[in-house]
Amino acid sequence: MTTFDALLAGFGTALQPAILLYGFAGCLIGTLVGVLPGIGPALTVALLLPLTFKVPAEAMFVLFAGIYYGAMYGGSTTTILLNTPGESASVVTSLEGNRMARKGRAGQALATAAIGSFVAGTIGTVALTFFSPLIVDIALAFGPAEYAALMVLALVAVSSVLGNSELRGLIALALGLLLGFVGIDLQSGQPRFTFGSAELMDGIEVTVMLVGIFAVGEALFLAWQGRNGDGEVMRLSGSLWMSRQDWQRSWKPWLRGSAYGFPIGALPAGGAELPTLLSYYTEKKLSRHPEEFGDGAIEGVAGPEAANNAAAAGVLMPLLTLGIPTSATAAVILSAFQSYGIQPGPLLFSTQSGLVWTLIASLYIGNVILLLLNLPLVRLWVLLLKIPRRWLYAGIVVISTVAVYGASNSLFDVGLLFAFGFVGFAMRRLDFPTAPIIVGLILGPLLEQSLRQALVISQGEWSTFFTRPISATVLVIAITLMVLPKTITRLRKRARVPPG
Amino acid sequence: MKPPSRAFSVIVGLGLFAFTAVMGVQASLIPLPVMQDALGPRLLPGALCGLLLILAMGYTQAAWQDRSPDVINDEAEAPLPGRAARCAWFIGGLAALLALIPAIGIGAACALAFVLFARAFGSRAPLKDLLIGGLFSLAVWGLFDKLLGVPLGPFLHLP
Repeated sequence: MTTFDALLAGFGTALQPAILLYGFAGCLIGTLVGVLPGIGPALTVALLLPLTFKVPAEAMFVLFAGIYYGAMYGGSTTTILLNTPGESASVVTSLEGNRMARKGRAGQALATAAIGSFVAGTIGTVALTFFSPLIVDIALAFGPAEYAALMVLALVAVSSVLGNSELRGLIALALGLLLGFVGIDLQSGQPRFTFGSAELMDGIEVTVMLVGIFAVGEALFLAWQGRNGDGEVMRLSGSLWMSRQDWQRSWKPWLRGSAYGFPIGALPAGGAELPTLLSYYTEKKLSRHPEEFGDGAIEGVAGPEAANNAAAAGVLMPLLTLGIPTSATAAVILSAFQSYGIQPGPLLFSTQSGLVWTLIASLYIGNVILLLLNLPLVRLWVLLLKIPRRWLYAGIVVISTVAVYGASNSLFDVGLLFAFGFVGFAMRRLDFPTAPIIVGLILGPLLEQSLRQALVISQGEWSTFFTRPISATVLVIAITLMVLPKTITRLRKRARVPPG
Repeated sequence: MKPPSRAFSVIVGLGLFAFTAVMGVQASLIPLPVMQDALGPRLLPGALCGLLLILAMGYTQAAWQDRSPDVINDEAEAPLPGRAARCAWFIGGLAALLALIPAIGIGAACALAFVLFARAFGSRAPLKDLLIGGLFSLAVWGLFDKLLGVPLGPFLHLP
């Protein structure tokens, strides 16, 4: 079956009324949580994971896809209308978007963000459709050694390249990996780090850690801070229509943003911060109105928003084709696959072909739904921003507790959730990145398994990772990524110190 | 200007040490299987404990020398006065959930904890919060337990 036929079959399933309804609900929930400050897509998907026992896989992943893209659309609304940016990827949008809103051009800022998100989301999904089978073809030739090397690369990239500090990133990563080993070791049957407790035999659930850090920890941090920040919500005056000039100034940044977003998102070094920043500085450089930057330039909203959404599509590529998550949201989606007994990886495209293509088709459909949903309902989203913070965060902690308790009916898990809340508070306060601990938790056991398989094949020779060409190349890239930033800083420092 | 506070980051650094020590001892207690392979159940956890030990040392040193950021030293982000009381209300809410879920049912426990959380965010209207919290908990309980079939137990059960 060609890619195109498979995609058509995917549309066939995704457009069935029952599945479409889930897609619609996902877009709605996604936009809602994207707009609400404090809840991101990773948290929402984690909170909905208990449902995996009830809902068929196709419907569930279509729902998740809607949430994933919807949160991106919703996030931009909040950034433009509220002057406190939610997620790190939208910080640059807030520079220009909020300025535009202050000048009474909130409608145009929202419009260029939404249409740009649509354009980039669609380009990203097209790229995902046609590049994924190519990656799968290559990946089918990978052995455990190559997988182990790729996972090491992903871990290094997530922890040391993106954060502000390599030290804190690596601590978060080591903690996540170590906690990933809690439970029964599948190979030897030995319990590890269970402290004699039966509840820890099955290991630590990704959802418990993620909800603890993102929901309970964040709420505790905001309570500690006491800046309730019922922030100033910009008035939405004037029309939402973009003028001819707005279109002319937007369409190239949309395309350039997509071109940055997808490939960078798809690299194991994923994430959306880098492409949004790159896009912003490119637009500033190329603009005919550079003086407007910092004071509400429409290109500064159009480009980064497009980059952000294209990166979101990019992140799905290593997840679906290699089974390697490169962001917190991808880690939760991976854990959702696992709870259906499905292991993402190159075989996914042949064993679960129907599911994968339904998911991809629903990304196209979701983008259309979101474009139709976002702008006309924008006044409704604005109302959401007016929910008092004290009720919003109290509600977030309550719903987190309910979801975690509902998944296992275990008070122990609720206690663990709160313990991770304290960890999350400390991480937030001391500027530790959160993605490495979550990605580490889920990749730790997978990495160990690949290492073991590789060592069995090589009869215990560790040199196998450096004698196989692909694995060696990937490991060299990983080492370079780890060492390079430090070396550059050191060289710069040395250059500054005058001789003598 | 106040000198930067490093107490919290140093405590976290030392806490990391303690955690690593406990995990290290636990790792050394993992029984080795009879059939040895190149990568036993102890090797990776042990190696990670070693790595974490070095990292914790680096972090604690950086914290001691005021080279680790803490939001408390950031003028724009630092907490407003009264942080201890707010945190106490919040932690009280968490404790209430743990204690009350088995005692009075999850819905009622959530409604009461909601009031404590709202107080931690500066609310001064407990009755109004209880009303909102009760309605919200009922909605969440109804959604999960009744509509979606995720078993949560009764909303309220009296001992």
